[in-house]
Amino acid sequence: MLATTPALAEIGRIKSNVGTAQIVRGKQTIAAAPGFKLEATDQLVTGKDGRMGIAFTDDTRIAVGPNSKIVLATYKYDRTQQTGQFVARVNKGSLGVVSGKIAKSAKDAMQVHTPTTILGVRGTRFVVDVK
Amino acid sequence: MIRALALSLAASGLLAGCASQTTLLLPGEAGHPVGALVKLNKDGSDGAVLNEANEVLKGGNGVKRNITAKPEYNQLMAGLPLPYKTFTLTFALGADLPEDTAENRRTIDYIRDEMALRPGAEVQVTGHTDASGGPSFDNDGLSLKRAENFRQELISKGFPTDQVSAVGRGKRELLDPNDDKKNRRIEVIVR
Repeated sequence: MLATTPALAEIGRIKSNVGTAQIVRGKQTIAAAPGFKLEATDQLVTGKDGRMGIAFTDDTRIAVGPNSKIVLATYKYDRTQQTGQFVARVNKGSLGVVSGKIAKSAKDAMQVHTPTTILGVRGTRFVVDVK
Repeated sequence: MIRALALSLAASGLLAGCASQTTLLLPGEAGHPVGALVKLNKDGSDGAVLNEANEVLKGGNGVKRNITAKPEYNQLMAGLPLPYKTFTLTFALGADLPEDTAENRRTIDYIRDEMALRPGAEVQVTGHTDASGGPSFDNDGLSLKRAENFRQELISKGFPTDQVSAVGRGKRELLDPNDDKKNRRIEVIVR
C-alpha cells in the first residue's frame, strides 16, 4: 500500500500571515509562514499588527485577526467519509470563518467556543469577536 | 451552593477579562445560502439562533437584525484564503488512469496556475467510481487507485510530494445516478 497522505497529523496549512503571527505547539513557539502544516491543539497567536489566513483539509477556511489567541482544540476528519469534529476556542480576538465539510457532516460537528459561549456552526460565513 | 456558583461565575468573568463578545452571521459566500449559528445551552439544546444574514448576537440571548458589519470585520474576512478550486477528470469504465483527452491533459496546467495563486498551496486528488460494480466490487479501492495514479502523475511532472494527497471516496458521491460516465472521475481540489 502506498502512503497516500503526506502527514496524518496535518489538519490544514497557513496561507498568509502578516505582522506578529505565531503558532504555539506544546512548549514551542513557531513563526507563521505560508505552507506551514497545522496540527490539532495548536494555538494561533497574533500581535496587534498580526493576521493569519488558514485553509483546512475539510475545506474550512479561517482568518485570524489582530490580538488573538485561538486554539484549534479538536480537529478530526475522515477524508473518505467527509465527517468529523472541529472545535476552535477563541480565548481572545477575532475569528472569521467559511465553514467546510465537517460543519456539513452532522449537527454541531463544528463548534466555536469562547470564554462564555458555545456556538454550534451550521454554516457558513461568520465572525466571532472576543474583546 | 448559590454563593459558590456566584463566586465561580465572578471568577470566570475575571478570567475572561470582562470579555465582550460579538457573533455576526454573514451572507453565504458567492451566492451560497446563509447558514446558521446556534448558541448552545449547557444541556446541548438550542439557545439563541442566528439564521439570517447580518444578524448579531452579543453576550445575552437577544438577536439584533440588519447589522452592518464593522470595517474591522470586513477587513478580517478579506484575510481569508482564496476559495478552493476544483477540477474534474473523467475515466473510462474500469480504468485507473484518466481518459487521454485534450481537456484532461490541459487540466494539469490549470492546476499549476491555481497553485501559483495560493501561497502554501496544497492539492487533494479525490477518486470516485460509478455504482455499476455490484455489491462485492471494491469501489473504495478503485477510487483510491485512480486518485493515487493521478497523484503520481502530478509528482512525475514536478509537483512536490508533500503538496499532493490522494483520497478514495468510492461510490459515495455520485454526480448523476443515471450517468455512469460522469460518476467515474477524480476531483482535484486546489486549496
